Amino acid sequence: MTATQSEHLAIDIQNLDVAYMAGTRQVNVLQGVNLALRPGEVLGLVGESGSGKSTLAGILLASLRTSSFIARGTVHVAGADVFKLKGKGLRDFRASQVALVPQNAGAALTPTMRIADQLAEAFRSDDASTATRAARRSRAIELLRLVRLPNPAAALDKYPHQFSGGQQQRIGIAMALAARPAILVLDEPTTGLDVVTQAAILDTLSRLHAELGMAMVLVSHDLGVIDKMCTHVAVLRQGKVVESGPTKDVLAHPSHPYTRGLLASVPRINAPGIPPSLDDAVIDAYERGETLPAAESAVYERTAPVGTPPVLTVRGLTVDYNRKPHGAPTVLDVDLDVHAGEIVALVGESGSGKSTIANVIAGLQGTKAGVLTLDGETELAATVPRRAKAVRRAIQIIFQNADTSLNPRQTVRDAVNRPLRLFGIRGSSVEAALADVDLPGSFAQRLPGQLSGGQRQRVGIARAVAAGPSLVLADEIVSALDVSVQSSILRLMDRLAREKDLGFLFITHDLAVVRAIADRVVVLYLGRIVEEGTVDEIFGSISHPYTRLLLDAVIELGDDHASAPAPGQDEVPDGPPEQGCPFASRCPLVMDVCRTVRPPVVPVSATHSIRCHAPLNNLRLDLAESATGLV
Amino acid sequence: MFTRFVAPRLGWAIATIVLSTVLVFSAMQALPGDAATQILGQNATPEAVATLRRQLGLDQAPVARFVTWLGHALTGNFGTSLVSGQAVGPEVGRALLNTSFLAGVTILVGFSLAMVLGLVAGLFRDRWPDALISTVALVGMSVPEFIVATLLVLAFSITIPLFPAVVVAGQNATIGQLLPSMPLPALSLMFVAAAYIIRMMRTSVIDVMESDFVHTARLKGITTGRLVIRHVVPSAVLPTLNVVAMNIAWLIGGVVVVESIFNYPGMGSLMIRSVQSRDLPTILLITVIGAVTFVACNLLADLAATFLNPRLRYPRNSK
Repeated sequence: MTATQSEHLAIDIQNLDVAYMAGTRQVNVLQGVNLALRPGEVLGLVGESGSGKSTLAGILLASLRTSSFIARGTVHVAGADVFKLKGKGLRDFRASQVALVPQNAGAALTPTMRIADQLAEAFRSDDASTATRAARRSRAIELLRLVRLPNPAAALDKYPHQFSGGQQQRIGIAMALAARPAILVLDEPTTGLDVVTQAAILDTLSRLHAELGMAMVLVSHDLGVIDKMCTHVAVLRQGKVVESGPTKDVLAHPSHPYTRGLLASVPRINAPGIPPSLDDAVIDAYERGETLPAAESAVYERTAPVGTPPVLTVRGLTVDYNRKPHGAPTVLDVDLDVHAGEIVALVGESGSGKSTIANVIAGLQGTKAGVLTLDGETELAATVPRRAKAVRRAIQIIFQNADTSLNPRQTVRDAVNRPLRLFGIRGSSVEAALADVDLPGSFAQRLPGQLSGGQRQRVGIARAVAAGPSLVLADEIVSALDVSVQSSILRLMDRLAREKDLGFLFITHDLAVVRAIADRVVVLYLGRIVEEGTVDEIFGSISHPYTRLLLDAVIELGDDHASAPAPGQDEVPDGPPEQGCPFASRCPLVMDVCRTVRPPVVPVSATHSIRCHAPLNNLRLDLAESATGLV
Repeated sequence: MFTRFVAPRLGWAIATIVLSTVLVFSAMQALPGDAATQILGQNATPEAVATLRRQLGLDQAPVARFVTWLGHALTGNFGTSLVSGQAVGPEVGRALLNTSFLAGVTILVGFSLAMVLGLVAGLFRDRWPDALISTVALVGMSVPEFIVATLLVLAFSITIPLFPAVVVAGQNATIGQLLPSMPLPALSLMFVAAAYIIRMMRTSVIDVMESDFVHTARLKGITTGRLVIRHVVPSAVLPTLNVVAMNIAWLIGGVVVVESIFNYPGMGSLMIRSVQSRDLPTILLITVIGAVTFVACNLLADLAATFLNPRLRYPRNSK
């Protein structure tokens, strides 16, 4: 970078309006946006879905959706007026000045091209690197080493699908860095990755920024990630920047009620309770120059039910997907209880078997061994067709994606009425079921497309609860929702559990949400339980090394201590080992015995148990650090 | 690979072929008259018909005749024509060769062109090249091939006398003799078969163009040509392969109408003549060839899709 260039701003956006036409009406996606970023700075764009943050990120690469257009204003990136660029000028700009790290590298890498070819395309303008095949390969290896991809030389000849999600994201970053861009745009680069993998990728990004010094723009809905990575932040709402400035200032002293509401609505792993949800009415009033008191501002702490009867008992559940006779089973020897009115969280990363267990309980998946009992008396048949109607009615599911689990051509009434008709439920109505989830009865006429994400999820819950179940399987039901809507759904879950004595089996990877809503927690790793206890015990001072790894990897607002695991240790292996402790391959406290003998169930209290060979003292938070140091 | 992929399909393939012969055999039984009445004509005495039936073996029960035929067919003996008394193999073989040649030209020229047209339509979605290509494809799908053939004859052998309207070379013509009269039948077939391939390729290209990886590749600043050839085409071709396979099978087995119009001495013409004369051994052999082609084309399309798709070629866990 020359001296004159470095005096330029890396990004200079002035009075930008981006719009599309709805009939003859102009709808603004972005409105009056002003942003400036100096070389080497990191800007976070934070906001909820529909805030325009991804549109803004696209603009930095001179990319707009086909129907959108620049209605007003200018965008300069690395000194170039990006929307004046055409043809070769535009291609050269994209090939040398600015690069994108896409949200989902699994979909963003071309499935039919080898990694080496895709990387080489990105540094094509660099003559020295493209002179010979050997030069191309060594440059590609250098890039993959930079992003700490294990075994880079072997990776070159593979196709994208042969890598795990975290590795694909590393390749995506390497591809973006290939052109040595002055500005790196990252669109939700760790959304969809496991928490431990996320910590490792963000750590790599921080190191790369320190080494290469490019300006970065990070789009995220996660305030913790923004806090960790960004020097500056711009908060977007409905296409407007409501607040911007140095990250520490904005997050510590937010001036706009939207920023304040957003910050308040984030659940924390080190504080119990459901945070207040964001109140749009308050913010809209503020925008008009009025003030309104917030409907809820306090954190709500749920109390666990005491002495209620069990609705679900699982004993010795083993599931085996393997066709080979000697492979280790996918799920091994899982015991689980859910009591009436209780919310039990099943926690684990991808591949932990949590969805498999939910499928078994729902009767969608056969088992190899194990007994499932409903309401303490009815033994559950393995699959749905062999279950009595009353049993099917008693177990209901709420799905992760309300968008895809509701038929887009059926009204809300059709969806909610289905269980009422199927199970012949009298004395209830669609309106009553909607009232249970705080939706007005008039919503029955609507189609799913006419509802917001949160409202759709409420319909999904209404559909499940209308059947009058005793057990509800809730599979990641808030992870697709904006953080401000999350809290209200969690509060709804709490109320339904209390009022209707529903037992919830809540499946999630999000530990902060677990802390907010769960009564008891079961931690799974590769289909084996490693720890279980009440929510306070799990988040307390004695933990299984795996639980500790998960907790340490969570990136929280105002907490700079999220620790990144070593490369190669940051991802879940493909399958469980045939013997010993499933976590042995990644455990900092591993001993010889861990690789051969299944760990015993060590009781910590009447409700808390840990499956580990290490002495309990080594699992204490205050001692864990020094114990790690000794190994 | 073989046990997981090929073996089960091979089983289904054999079942499909046997079932198709059963169906055709039954259909022929349902038709009034048989080879004996067709050969002897309307004025034949019942005694003469009965004698000829006995000579041709038609007096036995249908099931017994089918089982006998199947037993011989399995050893490669498809019997003799009830009309000419010659082995059916050479005659059907000659027709198959002619049809294959016609189909080959159609596939090589027509299908490649269809893929390219589909690609262009997809890339220029909703603009004039797409509108033009899609309209022509839609016409190709909706107009029956005999009308297309008739119009082509009208245009290119009557209005502008470029090509002969029908083949005059007769049943035993060589490929060389057939060559001058090839363009019009081939064009008629291309027009109809290409339509489906164009539509499929267009849809497939549009899907791929909207994918994340094409967006990402574009943002790398590569040229459009490179984007299309390296990133779009390999993924877009995969779903089109099955449509191509279906059309190839259709070409080999079912060019009946086009061959009749142009008097082209292929399997289609032979089949019509054989049905008229109730020449069962010939019909059954044509059925077997049609079914084998159909099954083989689909199997090949699946194998090609596997070969072209790295996700199937290199399973996730192979290190």
